[in-house]
Amino acid sequence: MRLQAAEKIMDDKQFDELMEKYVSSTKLGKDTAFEKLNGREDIAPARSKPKKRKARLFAAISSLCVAILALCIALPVALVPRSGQADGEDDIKYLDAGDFGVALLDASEVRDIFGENVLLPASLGTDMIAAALTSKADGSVAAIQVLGYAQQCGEIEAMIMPKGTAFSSFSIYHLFKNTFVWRGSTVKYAKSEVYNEPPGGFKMFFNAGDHDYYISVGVCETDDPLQALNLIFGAE
Amino acid sequence: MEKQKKSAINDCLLGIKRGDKSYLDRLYDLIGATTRHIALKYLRDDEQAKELEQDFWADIFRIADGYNFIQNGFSYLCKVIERMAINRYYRVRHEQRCIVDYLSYVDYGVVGNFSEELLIEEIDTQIAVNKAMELLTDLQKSIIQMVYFEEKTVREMAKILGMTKSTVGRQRKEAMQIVKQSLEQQLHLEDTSVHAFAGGREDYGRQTV
Repeated sequence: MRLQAAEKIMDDKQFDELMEKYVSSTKLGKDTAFEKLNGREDIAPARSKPKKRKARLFAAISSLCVAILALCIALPVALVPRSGQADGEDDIKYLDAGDFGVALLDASEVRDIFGENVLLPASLGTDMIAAALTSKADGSVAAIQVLGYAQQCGEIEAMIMPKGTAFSSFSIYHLFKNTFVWRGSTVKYAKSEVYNEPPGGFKMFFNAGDHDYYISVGVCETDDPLQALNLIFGAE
Repeated sequence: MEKQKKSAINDCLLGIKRGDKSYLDRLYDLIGATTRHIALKYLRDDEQAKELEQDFWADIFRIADGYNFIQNGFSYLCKVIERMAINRYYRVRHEQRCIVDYLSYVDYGVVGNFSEELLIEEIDTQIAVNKAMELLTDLQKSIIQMVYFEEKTVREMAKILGMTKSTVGRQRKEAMQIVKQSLEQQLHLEDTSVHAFAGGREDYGRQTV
């Protein structure tokens, strides 16, 4: 659209088009932008994770954010050492919560830390709040907590930990008698009204891959825990 | 942001993550202006911003590898380049912290290096909009750029700027009105000047005959 050809009275659509053209005109240009990319011989995708860089990034974020969530999350918990992972779900040892700090994370960083296969609540989209609990001694990540609100399930809290580790406050999850199988994993669950919480909620525990998942759901629109998990993580 | 664009960006990221280079051009078309804008906004130096953008695209396969299907690809890429810009800021300025002034805007009238790929009409558009932007307050310039370059919603802008949604909405509306009026005026003047010039030549022709 040439400027001269535009209408005297510009409507919103024309204005948006003009602005989009303007925005587009400010690009650097592919030739310049891709100069380094085209100059690289190893242009092929790098599938491996640069662990050291990410660890440094994580450490930096940790140092900035430790104080923010410490009081509301870290105090009531205790953790199991990563080295002392148990063989079975019931063989879990507990450590002092004071050994760990809390650091806010971007949702995108959760996979950087716990790997591509970690399950994240798809229902929370990008609005999820993620926090990592890190060892004050060596900065290693002991757990990641993901919080958020989904329309169909209310408040969702997912604590993701390496297999065999747990907070002492979550030991109750291992006592749940009800079970079902979801994506090949046995899920232990309890309806949350048992614990005088609002009806329709669930507490669930399961293991998938290298991680244990402790899920707490506020008020879910379904009464079926399997359906609830599908709503939270998305049907497979 | 339109759903179609959002989904196209996500598709491109997943394609690049799989190692398909054919998605690069499409992704650049979709976010090239945004990445440059963010680079300029943080670094305030055209050369540094250019270097940063080249680094970003040189690293795009690794960046795409960190993307997962539930994320908003556009937000993910914006965050990545923001972080890269902040890191470069530390390196270049040797300062302890990067002070991000959200009321800042990029003055494209000053940056003004037109890409060789641009058509004349795109250059015309750029000049006209830059001129119109001069009429805005700093807040309005920031808002207009957040809307069109960073695709921010009123809610997001209100959160960033620490203002109420209604204030931001009002400022946005007013800013758009001013730019729109200026563009209309420029177009009108351009038409008038073309006619006057043509008329003048006609008169001159008559006199000489």
